[in-house]
Amino acid sequence: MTVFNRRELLRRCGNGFGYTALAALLAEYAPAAFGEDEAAGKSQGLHFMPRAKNVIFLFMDGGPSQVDTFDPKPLLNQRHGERFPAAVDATQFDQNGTIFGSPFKFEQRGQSGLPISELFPNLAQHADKLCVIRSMKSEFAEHSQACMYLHTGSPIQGRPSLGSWINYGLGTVNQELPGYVVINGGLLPIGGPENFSNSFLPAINQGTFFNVFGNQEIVQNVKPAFGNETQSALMDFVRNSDAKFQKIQGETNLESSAIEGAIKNYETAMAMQTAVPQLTDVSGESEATLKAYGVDSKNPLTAQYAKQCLLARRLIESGVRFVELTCVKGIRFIAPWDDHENIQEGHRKNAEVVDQPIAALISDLAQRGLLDSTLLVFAGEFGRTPFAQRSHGRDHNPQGFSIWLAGGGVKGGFHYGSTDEFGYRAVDKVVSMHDLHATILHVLGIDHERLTFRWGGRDFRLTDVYGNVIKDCLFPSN
Amino acid sequence: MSSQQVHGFLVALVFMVNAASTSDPIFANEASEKEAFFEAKIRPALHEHCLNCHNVGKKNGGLSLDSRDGWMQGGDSGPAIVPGQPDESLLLRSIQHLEPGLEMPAKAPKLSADTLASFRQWIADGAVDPRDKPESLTEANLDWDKLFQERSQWWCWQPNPMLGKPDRYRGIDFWLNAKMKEAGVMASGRADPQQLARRLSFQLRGLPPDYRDVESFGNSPSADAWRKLVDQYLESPEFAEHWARHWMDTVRYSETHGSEDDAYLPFAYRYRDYLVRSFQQDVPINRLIEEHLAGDLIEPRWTEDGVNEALIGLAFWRFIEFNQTPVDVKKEEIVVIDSQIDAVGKAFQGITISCARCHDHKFDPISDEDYYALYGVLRSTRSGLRVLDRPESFSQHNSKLDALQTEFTKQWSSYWSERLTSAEPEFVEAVQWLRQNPQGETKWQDFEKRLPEGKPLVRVLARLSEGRGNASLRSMLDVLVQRSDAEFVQEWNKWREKIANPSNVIPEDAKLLWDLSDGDFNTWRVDGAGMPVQPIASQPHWTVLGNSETFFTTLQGEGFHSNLLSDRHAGILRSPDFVIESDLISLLCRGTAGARGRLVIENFQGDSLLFETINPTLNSDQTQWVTMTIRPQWKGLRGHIELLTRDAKPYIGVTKDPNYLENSDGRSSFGLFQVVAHAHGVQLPQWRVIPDSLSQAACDSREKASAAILQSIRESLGKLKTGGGNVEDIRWLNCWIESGWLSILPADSPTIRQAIDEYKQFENQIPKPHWAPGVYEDRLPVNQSWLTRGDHKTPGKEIERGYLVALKGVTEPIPQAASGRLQLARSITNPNNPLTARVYVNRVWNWLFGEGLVRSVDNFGRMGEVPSHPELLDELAARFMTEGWSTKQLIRHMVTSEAWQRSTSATETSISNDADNRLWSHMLVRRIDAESIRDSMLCVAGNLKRPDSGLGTLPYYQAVMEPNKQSPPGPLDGSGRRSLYLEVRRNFPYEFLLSFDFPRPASPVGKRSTTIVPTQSLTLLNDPLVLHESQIWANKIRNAEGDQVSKVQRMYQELLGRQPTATELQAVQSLLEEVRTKEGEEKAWHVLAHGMFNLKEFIFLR
Repeated sequence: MTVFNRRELLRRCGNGFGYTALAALLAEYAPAAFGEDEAAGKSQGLHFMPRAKNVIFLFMDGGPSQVDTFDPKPLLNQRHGERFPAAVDATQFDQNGTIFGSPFKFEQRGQSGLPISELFPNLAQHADKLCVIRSMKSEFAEHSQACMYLHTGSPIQGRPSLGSWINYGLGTVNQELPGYVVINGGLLPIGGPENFSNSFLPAINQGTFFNVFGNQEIVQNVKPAFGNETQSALMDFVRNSDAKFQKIQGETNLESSAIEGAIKNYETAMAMQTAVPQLTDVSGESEATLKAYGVDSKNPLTAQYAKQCLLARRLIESGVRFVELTCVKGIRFIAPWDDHENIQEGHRKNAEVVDQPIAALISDLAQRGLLDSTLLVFAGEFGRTPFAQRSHGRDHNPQGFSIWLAGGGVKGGFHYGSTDEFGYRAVDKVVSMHDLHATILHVLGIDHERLTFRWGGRDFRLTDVYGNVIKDCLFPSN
Repeated sequence: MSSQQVHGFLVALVFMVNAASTSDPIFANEASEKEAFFEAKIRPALHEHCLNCHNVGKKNGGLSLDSRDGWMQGGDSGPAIVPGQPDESLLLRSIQHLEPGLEMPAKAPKLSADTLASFRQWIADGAVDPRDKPESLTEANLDWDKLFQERSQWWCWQPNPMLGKPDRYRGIDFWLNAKMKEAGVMASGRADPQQLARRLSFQLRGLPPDYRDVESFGNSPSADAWRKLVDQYLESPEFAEHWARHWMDTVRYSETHGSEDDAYLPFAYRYRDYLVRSFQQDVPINRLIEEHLAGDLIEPRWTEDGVNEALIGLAFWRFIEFNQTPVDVKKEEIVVIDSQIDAVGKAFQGITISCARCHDHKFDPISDEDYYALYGVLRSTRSGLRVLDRPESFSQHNSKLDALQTEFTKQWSSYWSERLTSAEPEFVEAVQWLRQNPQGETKWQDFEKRLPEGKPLVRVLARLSEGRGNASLRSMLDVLVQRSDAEFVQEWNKWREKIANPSNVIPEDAKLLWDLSDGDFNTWRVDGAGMPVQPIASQPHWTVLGNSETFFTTLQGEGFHSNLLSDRHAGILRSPDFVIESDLISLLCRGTAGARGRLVIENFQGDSLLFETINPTLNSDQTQWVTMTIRPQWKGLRGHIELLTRDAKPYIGVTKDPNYLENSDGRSSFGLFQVVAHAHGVQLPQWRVIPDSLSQAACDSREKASAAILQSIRESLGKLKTGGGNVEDIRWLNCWIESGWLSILPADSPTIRQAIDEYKQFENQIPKPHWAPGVYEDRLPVNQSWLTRGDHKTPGKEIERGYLVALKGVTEPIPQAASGRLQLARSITNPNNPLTARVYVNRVWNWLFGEGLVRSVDNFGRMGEVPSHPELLDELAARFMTEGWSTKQLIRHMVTSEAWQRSTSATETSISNDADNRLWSHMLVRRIDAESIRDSMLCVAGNLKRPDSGLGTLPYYQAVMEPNKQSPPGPLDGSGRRSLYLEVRRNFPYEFLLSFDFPRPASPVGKRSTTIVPTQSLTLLNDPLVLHESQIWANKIRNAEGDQVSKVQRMYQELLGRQPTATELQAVQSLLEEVRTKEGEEKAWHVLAHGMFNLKEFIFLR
């Protein structure tokens, strides 16, 4: 008898830590970092001291422009309208125009003096908490591949997403909630739900959608089909019948304990039916909190993103490992930051939607003492060209762009790496997508080279055969 | 995995390594005894197991082991070796697996006891290491040949010793029982007959059994009755559907391509139906594989309806995801071909060939040269739809049509020759009228109203001078109508001079790539249904457009045209490859009804955004220049030109109309004359249409000019009448046909109308082709260059097309003119291929028993597992081949074995000695698959559509994820179709099935994962489909005859294949009672039905 098989079974079962007996067998894998009840739910264990337990991923769909947000390039404004002097890689639309100075003013913010453009007045107040990586590089200039690459480390479908890997690696702390939630504002990244796929990882690790747009049910299938009494009569019938079935089969082999797992899942499911509506009901939040996020904003899109951010905090508070916020629908019909035509107008609209809610989220997390244990990631799938597309837009630019991290263990008021003088290519301390993934895992206490899953005869990992942790962005660990 | 077997293997391996090293004379003579020990035992082991990750270049864990200094300095966890102190040495502790979290080698089995002992001894002896400097790990140093030899010893590469030795067959139970006896494990007894029948029904049909079958087998569960039931199920259509789906998992079946728009792969469903037919007919698996790989190159397999099944298998190559708008097209080809190589390797050979793209395989005897040899085969293969029907069904009337057309041409030209003889006054009069009534600034709409009644020629000439029609013709009319009498002679002569030197030659700054009217055609390919096989050679032809009023539309004397006999003739015209160098490429072409021109770059199939400019829709029956714009990044790449009729498009990118495929009358056409590469600003030649005779006619009056014009038309008609006429004549006549004057269907000629009607009768009998996704051979196959680290920007030497060197015993040389797919197919289905049959019988075992004899069903290589019963696997494989590669026969063998019929209750000895059940002493409890759960609900509800085939139904979505990218949801119950017939969309998989582990089509999945997660409970409790089906089932039961007890009995029979017990009846009655009191009769039954769908007994097989 091998331990492998018990782990295998546990891996496959969603309610892992419902298996007390099996959990005991697994004691040898118990990590010390988290509480005991958390330990039983995890699959692989921590490799390092974690700096954070949760991640909120703020996906900036379409690719915000680095030179208009976090990477000031005065040279662009000085030489605005001139021919771009450096070699240019093929762009998506080949409508490359002249050097395009940023229409947005940059200012040094906070005590650190971290420059942030006027697009984010609220976020700028948290400048000393942000770690801006200015030397990000992607490999793909097209949305669907770039989105998939950002989410899964591979440009094509078939690999588990970052959130799935993290959930697989760390397990869940709240069995009444999924560990990986996508707060869907109405726009999924191009490529669709496959960006949040568990792929070959156990299904429990897939992203669960909380749909907060339109008038639909927030979480699919969580609303009971029958009234309370009827449901309880039905459940009694099911429970009794299942108990007999289980008894007939007996607990004679490991496979048959799958039946037990399936039975126990019903308890979890019933609990989720109560837990999810409670969680998504924000009526208990104070007026001040709602206002701070902008739930009452005159801009309906800001108001919706505010709700998403607030929900993200509530999910994190309840122990959800990984929360991703997709963009709201209303600016463009896909990829709202994808401003090919008019960067000035488009980026202003986009920033207005996210600026106040994200700033409020940071404040709220900090106030509740959750910021240290939460890693915030603000990133698009690529950046935009420093030269114009036609005259007022910018094309996709994977060669160099900016993202920021904040929270758990991350240096604030700090920027890392740089692009060339035009903000076109990352040239110093280039950070690849795999490096970003490795760093996020590292913050959570996971060695990206050791978080593996064998499938189809190969050990897969999020970072494939690449990835370096960007330790300079993190405070030295104890 | 049996650790013993692995150890045995490793011992053998290490022994070989040692033998090789110690025989090296240099070391034997010069090195000290301790160094010799290092060379003999340690260096090879370091190479084999450590240096890949622990070298100066890639210091995993900060440790390099490629020099003495490396291990002395150590890694993140301190020095690796303390010379003389093995137990203090971290390296030894790691490889002994004594250091938690540092078990080495990473992700590989523990080293053999022998090797561990060698390391211990070496360290104890002072860890003598002569390596002052880091060893350079060049290709040469790694010594592929040696590695190859070692790796080829792995079990899966060995020939099957049972092949051709039926005397060594012992049967399934013999081998299993022998091992059980050895391990002291008692087998469980036969399962309860009712459970057996249910198990069999789900495993073979994916549906619950008919209770009458359960009952009759339960009454006399003899071996005979069992065999009868097995045969009954094997012959049922539901069997073929269920097993086709197994196969679809392994070929990553999908009906869309993913990426931004999730575009359609048209007619993919034909492949699904083909598989169902193939499993129904038990087509030999070797034949099926050959059809998948090279169905176009082997003997056809005709259905009664005249469809060549072999071609449908080719869709296998097309189930790929591709990026819709890659900036780097060549990189995209690499991704696509990699997916194809991955699929061939895993699906048919159980090996991971695609691991060798960037470097030699890390574990198996597969080199990167093998990879690029196979790459060349696929690079020489083109994507496209294939016509499945017998060629003669499209061409059976060709000679008749040809004759009728010739006859028509004669009649038509005679008619007009005659009419034109007396047309001079009419012509002169028309010119006169136009001179007296100039259009001036008047709009055509207003001017048209002023045209005289009953004078059709006035209208024709007015229209021409107004700006329609050919430029040369217009300039002629300009002289005739606009110029004053005084100017006329001079202007007419000027005009003659001008057109005598027409600019219809390709300018010097453009490059004529092909001229199809000059016979420049030998490297092109024509594929499709009934199309001509070459450009027009001599006799003029009409283009035929069945939907046009006149049926024949224009005369053609040159170029290639798909519709010389009918526009029902459909297909693809494809150029050979060329290197793209120009800014623009222009096609002199025509096309109707959704025909398309394409420039296909590096086999890239997409047609949107970036690629719109090279995928023009051809929407003019008149020949004209259509220009494609080349993006700078495409220069230097390979491309080819394609012209396609509407339904031959291999990819439907932009339409969201699911009925696009069905909404076709099959009529579409194209024509092509020239392909020219040129720069921006180059003037492309316009056709000269004025015949020499006219350009030489010196006329001193308008009347004489009119006469000359009429004369030249009559001359051209005259030549046509006698079967002659050159390109000039035809262009000249076309001008007048297009102008509306030389009507094809003159109102006063019943004979001409009759001729067309007769033509139509035969033309209408040409059927609409059946298309399916497939591939074609390239006319000029190419090899692929080896790509350093898989990067196309760093090509190395050219690798000849071929297959794995490790399988050289079964490979065949690839002729220069062939891609090599046929040779690949034959290598794979060669009985001496050690992998193919083993892989397939192991898959079938896995599908029937829940685990494979080799548990890693898609990987027999070094990272996979060894067979639990190698002799049994070999016997099954050998027997399978001898018995004609028959799936049904193989299933019969397995399910009639004692092993398969055992109960799921383990014996005590099994629990204590074989907890993993590797010895198959009992049957595994299994959850039924996603489709079976859904289909069973529909089945018991009486809501299942039978029989079924054809275009898939869109799945139902509760929450529309991406309204702008996603099709609208399909019907909740999928129109009552089995899950097999629901569309498989890459970007929007059906959530219901997904939650029960329906596989994503990214890579072959031989064994689905079976997870047990709360989402499944929520789905069965609250999903609208479950509510819907339970309601229908409840209504059916409630409205049936009989009392409550008999109704409840019926529900248990239908869903669980058994009678309820007395206690169960009681429980049900109290449930019904409770709900009935509060919510009424209808709700009570609904809740009961719903509850039953939530029983574990429903979804688990015992």
